[in-house]
Amino acid sequence: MPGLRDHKPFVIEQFGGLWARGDSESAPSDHFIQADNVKYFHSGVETRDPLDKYSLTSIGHVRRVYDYVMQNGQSLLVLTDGGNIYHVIPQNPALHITKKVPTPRLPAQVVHGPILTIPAMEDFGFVAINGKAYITPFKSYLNAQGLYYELGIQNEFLYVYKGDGTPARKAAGNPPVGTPLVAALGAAGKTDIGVHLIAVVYETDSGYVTALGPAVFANLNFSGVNKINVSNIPVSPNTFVKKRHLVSTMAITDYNGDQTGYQFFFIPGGNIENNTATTHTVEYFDSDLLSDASHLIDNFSEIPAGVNLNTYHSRLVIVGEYGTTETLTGLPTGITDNRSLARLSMPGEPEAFNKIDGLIIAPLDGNPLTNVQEFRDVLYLFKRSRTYGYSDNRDEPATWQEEVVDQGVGCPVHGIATVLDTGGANIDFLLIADSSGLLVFNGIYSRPELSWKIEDYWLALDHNGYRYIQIVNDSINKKIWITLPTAGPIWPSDERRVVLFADYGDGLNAKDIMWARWIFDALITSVCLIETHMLILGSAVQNQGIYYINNIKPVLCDSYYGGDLKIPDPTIRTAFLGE
Amino acid sequence: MAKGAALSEKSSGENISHFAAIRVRVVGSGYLQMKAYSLDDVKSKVLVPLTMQTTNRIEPTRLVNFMEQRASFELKTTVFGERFKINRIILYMKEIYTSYPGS
Repeated sequence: MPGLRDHKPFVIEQFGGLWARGDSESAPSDHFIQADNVKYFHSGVETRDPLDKYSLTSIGHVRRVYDYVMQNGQSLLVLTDGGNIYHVIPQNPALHITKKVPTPRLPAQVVHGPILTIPAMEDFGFVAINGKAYITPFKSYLNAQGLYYELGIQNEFLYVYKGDGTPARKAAGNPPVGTPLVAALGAAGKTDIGVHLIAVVYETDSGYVTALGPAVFANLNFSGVNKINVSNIPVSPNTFVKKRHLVSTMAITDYNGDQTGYQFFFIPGGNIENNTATTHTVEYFDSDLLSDASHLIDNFSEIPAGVNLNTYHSRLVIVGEYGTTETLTGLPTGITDNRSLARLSMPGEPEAFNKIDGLIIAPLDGNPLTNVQEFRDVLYLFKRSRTYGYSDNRDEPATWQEEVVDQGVGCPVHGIATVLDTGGANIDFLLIADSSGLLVFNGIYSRPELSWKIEDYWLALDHNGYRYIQIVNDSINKKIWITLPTAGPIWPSDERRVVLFADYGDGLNAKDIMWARWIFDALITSVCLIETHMLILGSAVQNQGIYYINNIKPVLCDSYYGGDLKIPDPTIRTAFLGE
Repeated sequence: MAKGAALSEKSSGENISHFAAIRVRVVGSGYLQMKAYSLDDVKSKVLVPLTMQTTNRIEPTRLVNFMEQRASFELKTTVFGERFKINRIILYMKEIYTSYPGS
């Protein structure tokens, strides 16, 4: 390349993104020592896409936003100040913004709610199962050393929301109560002979089957030649109870009076498809009793709240509970909560949590469980700086073997990247935010960290504010966004206005990933992706509300509910170059 | 030959260079503000902004005329609605002294 009056050209055409490691003079020539409000394309850098309002009016101070995948589409669950959760459903025409088919989105939406209000709720964990949203409220606590940690709210519970705008309710449900169940010999029929106990369970609209009730089961000596008339069947006062089922023991010899000491089974033909009838007639042999119902006796009727929810082998997993009056009873001296406890539901029954053996106790090192994730058939539990693995042995969770994966790396409560619109593992790695940086986890933690180039920046973040970190991974466009806590003095701006952006289109490794800071005129509290490509941002305090990144907006400005503002000075600054 | 980081690309002596011009393959709208900085930002020089167009067959060049041992270049937009898209940044520089007098 010819020079300019003996001046040699120095060409920078492959941009490596932000470098914030060591002194600014250590930045390679193809990196930037400042990269604000820019994004990358192959061999180039440009102004980031602008922010736009997601709805016509602000929903308020947003604390957390999740993409809620319903059976019939995607929507948002939004937590605002005051502990209110709203359900925001985009309307037709469907959200549709791609570069190839740029159809403008209409801001018409349905906002349900609040579907749940818990004033003490500062944050919540969420997972969608079969279109239903499971929600666990949690908050931050402060220990004597001044460190924040998160646990489910004391004496609060797991909630289930059907997605139809009706308020969320406590998951699971109370067993039947009332006066004793009555059984009597009826018309001619065929049964086995002997003493049988009969009880009732409720089935809720979310498919949960309660424990057995009422307090006194029916007790009848079957004749063998009569049908059994069951009466005084309890009727639930709760409208979410949709069905009831009769359960029975096999014939008992020498009944000892302990009615829950026997194995119960669902009676074929014992289903009552309503919540109104008080009588039902059944006829069955003991050999017809195949489907066990005994485990229902030990299930929680109200499931203690935790900080995080996920699924593993069709089980719902909840971690980081403070506890309830029921679960905090009888704890050893000095133990005030259940911070190292993970509870797992029965397979396929996300609200059936066995009190006895449906749990895992992680090592009691004083730090609470923060996160849970399935990966390659292993259940991983995380603490702030610990990672443990558990494998399903086809027995109850309490018997699962523990494997210590890493005693130096863990993650905060939102520190595992959500991939597109689902959990963290629909691609073959996890992205995990640890104190040391953003790490790739593929069974082991890969080093160096993905954030190696910006290590100084990462380490300057307030470690006591890691609860503010939330990560989304757009695995289609190979981009990552991370909300941040405040940063130390070397980064003077309030990093809670910053979303850390990474483009790994050239490779998911420390060398090829390209970083930038996206700065907004709002305190960004939460990020998620909806419809796999639309980045949603929740903000609080100034310009609060729900926003999205609009890549087809004709005017390049950030549109807030308070008005349009310029994108804060998109800037790149080269490394220090010289001879 | 110009070098980047002293650490990763090694230094060839930290001699004093004359940064003559900057050429940028850029499209967009508005003005691309540019500024050159010395080490530790002790000295700086504001360059004449580049007027950006949505399409452009010319890669514009701006005189820099900045003499330092190393220099960093800032490119940014500052006005509502402006945008840039940069493919290449070309710096023209020449080693002219080995040291400052007396140093």
